[in-house]
Amino acid sequence: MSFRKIAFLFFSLSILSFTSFSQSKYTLSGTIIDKSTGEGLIGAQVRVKDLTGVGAVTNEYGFYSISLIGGKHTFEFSFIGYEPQTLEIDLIENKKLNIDLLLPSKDKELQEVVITSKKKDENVKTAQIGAETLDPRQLSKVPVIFGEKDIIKTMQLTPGIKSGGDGSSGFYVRGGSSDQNLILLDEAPVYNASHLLGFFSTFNSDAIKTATIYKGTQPAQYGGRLASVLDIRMNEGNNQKFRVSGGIGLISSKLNLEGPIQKGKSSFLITARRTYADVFLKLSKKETLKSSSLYFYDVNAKLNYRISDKDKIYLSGYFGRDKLGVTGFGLTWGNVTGTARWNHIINEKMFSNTSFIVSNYIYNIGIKSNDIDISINSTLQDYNLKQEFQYFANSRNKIKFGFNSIHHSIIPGQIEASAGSGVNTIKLKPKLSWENAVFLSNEWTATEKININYGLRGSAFSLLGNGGEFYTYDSQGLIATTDTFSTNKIINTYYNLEPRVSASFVYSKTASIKGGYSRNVQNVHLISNSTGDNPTDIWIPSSQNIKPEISDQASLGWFKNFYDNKYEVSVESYYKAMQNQIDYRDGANTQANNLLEGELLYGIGRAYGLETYIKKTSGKFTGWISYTLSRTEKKINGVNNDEWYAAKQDRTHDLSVVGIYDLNKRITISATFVYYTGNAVTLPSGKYYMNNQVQWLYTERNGGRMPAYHRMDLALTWYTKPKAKYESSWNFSIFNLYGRENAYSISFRESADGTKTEAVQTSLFKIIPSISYNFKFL
Amino acid sequence: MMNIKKLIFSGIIGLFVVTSCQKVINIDLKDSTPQYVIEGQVNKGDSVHIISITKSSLFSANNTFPTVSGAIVSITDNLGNNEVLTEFEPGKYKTAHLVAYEERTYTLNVQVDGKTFTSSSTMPNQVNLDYILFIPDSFNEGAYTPIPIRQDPAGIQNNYLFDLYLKRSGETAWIRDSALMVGDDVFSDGVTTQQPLFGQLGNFRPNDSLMITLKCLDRSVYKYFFSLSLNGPNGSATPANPVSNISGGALGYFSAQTKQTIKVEVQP
Repeated sequence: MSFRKIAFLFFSLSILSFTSFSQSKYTLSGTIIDKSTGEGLIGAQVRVKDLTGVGAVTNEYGFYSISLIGGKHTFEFSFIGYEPQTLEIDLIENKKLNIDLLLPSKDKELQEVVITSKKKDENVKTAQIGAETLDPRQLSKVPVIFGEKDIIKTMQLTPGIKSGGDGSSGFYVRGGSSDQNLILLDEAPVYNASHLLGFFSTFNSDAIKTATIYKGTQPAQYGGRLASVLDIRMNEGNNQKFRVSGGIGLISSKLNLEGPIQKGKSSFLITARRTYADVFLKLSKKETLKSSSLYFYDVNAKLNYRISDKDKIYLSGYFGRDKLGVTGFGLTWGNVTGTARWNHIINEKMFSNTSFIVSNYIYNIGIKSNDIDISINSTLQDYNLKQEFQYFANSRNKIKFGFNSIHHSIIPGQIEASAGSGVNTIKLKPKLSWENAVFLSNEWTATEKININYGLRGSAFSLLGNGGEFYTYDSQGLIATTDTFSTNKIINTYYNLEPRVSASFVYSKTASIKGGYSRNVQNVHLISNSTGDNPTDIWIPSSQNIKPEISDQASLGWFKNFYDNKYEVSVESYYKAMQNQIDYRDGANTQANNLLEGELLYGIGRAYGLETYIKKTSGKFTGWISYTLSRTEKKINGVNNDEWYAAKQDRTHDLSVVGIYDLNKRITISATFVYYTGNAVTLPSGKYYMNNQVQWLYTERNGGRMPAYHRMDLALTWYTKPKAKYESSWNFSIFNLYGRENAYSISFRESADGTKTEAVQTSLFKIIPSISYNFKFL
Repeated sequence: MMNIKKLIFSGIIGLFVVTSCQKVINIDLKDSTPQYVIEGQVNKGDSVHIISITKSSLFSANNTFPTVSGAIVSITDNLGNNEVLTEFEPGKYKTAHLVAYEERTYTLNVQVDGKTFTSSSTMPNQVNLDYILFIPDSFNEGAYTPIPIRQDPAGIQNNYLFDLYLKRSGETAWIRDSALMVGDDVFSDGVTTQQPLFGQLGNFRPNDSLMITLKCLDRSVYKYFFSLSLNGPNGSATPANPVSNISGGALGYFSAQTKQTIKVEVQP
């Protein structure tokens, strides 16, 4: 089928679903907010009690709109964990109604641990397949390394999302590599989501309102990565009351300030944290360690201002830096993002959001000694404009459409050196590209039992000239042609149509079957051939040599809730075919290489798997078991005789068990256990003597396996007796309870007597206990 | 440039050494059929050049490698000078009077067991190692890191390989440093280069002796050693056999190169 036909089909479908309009319908619309903080509630429910199956959900800014036949209706407004409100309204005209919901008193809250912010049976009813929403409130109870709660690490305990391993914030979704995840912080793409080389993620959970990951069919408003979208939304800031809260831990501390600027109208939020591992280095007797530095800090800030009932402006930003230094050498890296958003309610059915976003990632290496002064800089800079309209057509159709335009500028690493440094100053021209997309989607409640989300994204990616040279390469990786293009001249454009469909069939009150298909396209690629997260790995755009990565994923799942939605069970399967996948030539130089694209090889990939999930969502004991059986393979021209081989992230088994138990009102204990098959790695299959040393003989890429990984963590949270103005809690945790030495890398060496060869594994962590104290002034 | 990645990793590993640990493990490795391994050098000014031919063995085998005898080995230069090598010990072959010069291309031909392996390498012009400078070692107090100073010629691609031998103060034996220190002049064309040699041994103390050899390589041999260096600790996530300049399916390299050695005592 041609693209044009597909496009036509989609437009006809969306027009068809408008035809169910009937006369004398009115719309009730407004926002639902938390009364105590003034923050909009995402995913709050509006239910019409006298009409079964009719309702609405608030969008990411707390806005809802519901259209009904006129007359008297009883509406229930609810959000999990909050006290619901019921109102009888005589709908004789379009009506605006803003709702404040109140969190119940503290004691009541502790009785029931909130696992997600979703409606109790939403997992069954929604058409969305392969999505998981995490509530930061739940994070505080799951044990984590160094006691620093981390949304990315906790997300890896759910099915289909695999950890990058110790010392990595990277994660693998359904066979995708870690650069195939789009990580958004208030809509701004974050290019390197790790601190301290992966020991922490860049997201301070105190600043986060919700985090949703789409691993299956991504809604059409998202695009640009193959495997997943992790959409993280920051808190807005309390517009009712000034609040101070914070936490003190063994290696990091944080502080959170928020409050109204004008009560009920505008507010601010500032959250900052810093680690102080380097303070311990100062205690060292060794001079060289004393003068070393190793820390990160980050700041999240947000301002919002309600201009009128119809307009609201949000400004949000993130600034983070990691610093690593020893005498004469320093490495700094970090992200900066800024988002300016304007919400506008055009009318009771139409909501608009306009965002202007800046994302920036840099690293800097400095080398200084005697007369040497060298600095190596790399910058990635995005300017991003996004417009989204949400049209609440009627109670059965919710339409989203809009566009997105991103300008990327990447300087892969240029050198500035003083005379006598022994290297030349080399200024590089930035790699420029321009990514555009339009999208249209509809959430269609076809019948009471069938929900269908369908959408289409059209994307265009243009490589732009920069006044410098562009190379194409022959099959050996040698330069074939050289051309020069003037700045911002379009060199070539890749067009792609990305259809996305997902549907649910709710065949009983508590059970459904869902299916989905989606195509995703990725035009920026991370070139990384190192074991862990490396801040100097670089992103490069699609080019004359690198074609857009494309994936087609089909998924099918069964969802069932038991015992009044106390237990959720799901089984999902997926198959994903990927085109234009990238791998490296043997001996590729991926660092500071101007002819990098000549070192790349291309091919296809496939991933398939089965994900099972059992979750207990309420009661004193909550938690889940998640197990994934999967395979991920690549077939690259020039690797392993062009045969299929296991991708690095191929893991046959992946199991996570999480248990949280509320011992009493004040004490919660929790434990997690993870087990997964070791990554596919390249291991030697022989040895030989060369260059006065024994060398390893390799016959196959990724033909070996790391040892299986497993680990158990334990945590205890103790909420001290609340005072009138002050609340606090202690968190004690033990990472890697039984001290399992999990392999981070395997190397080989001659045995001490020189006659044999032995394998040596390096592991990063044994048992790590930690303690942290969190406080809140009321 | 070559050491930046290494520096980063040494820094990180140094600072995290508190928690990380190593142990010897048993791991299942696949077997492979023996492959021919050829290593040969033609050094400037010499007339005796040695080619060694061995075979690879299984990972579990002892570190004594099968030698390959009875091969017909010859080296020819681009002016037609030719010499057939004689086997002076099992698997080791040498020339007697083929004097090697800069800018000449040398071709190696090996015939053994019905197989033919060939390689050619052009000897680059020598870049002189002028002297060794010492700077304080960032990781070891009181220790020093050597910097071999040389003037890189402008406008020509130069490729360097360093060998480092250490004799600790008061001892008699020279220890070979296993670090593979290979670099080019992509970032330092035409300047007085200042790249420190960190070595694997490190911790060079005053009065220790160092023997530093600079070899100038042609590009294909550089590529061989660069890719070999990726298999080392903290190297690539996908190690592979280094890219050989020998055709016919043998492992190894054949290098026509210049060679210069400086012996110094470590001093501030």
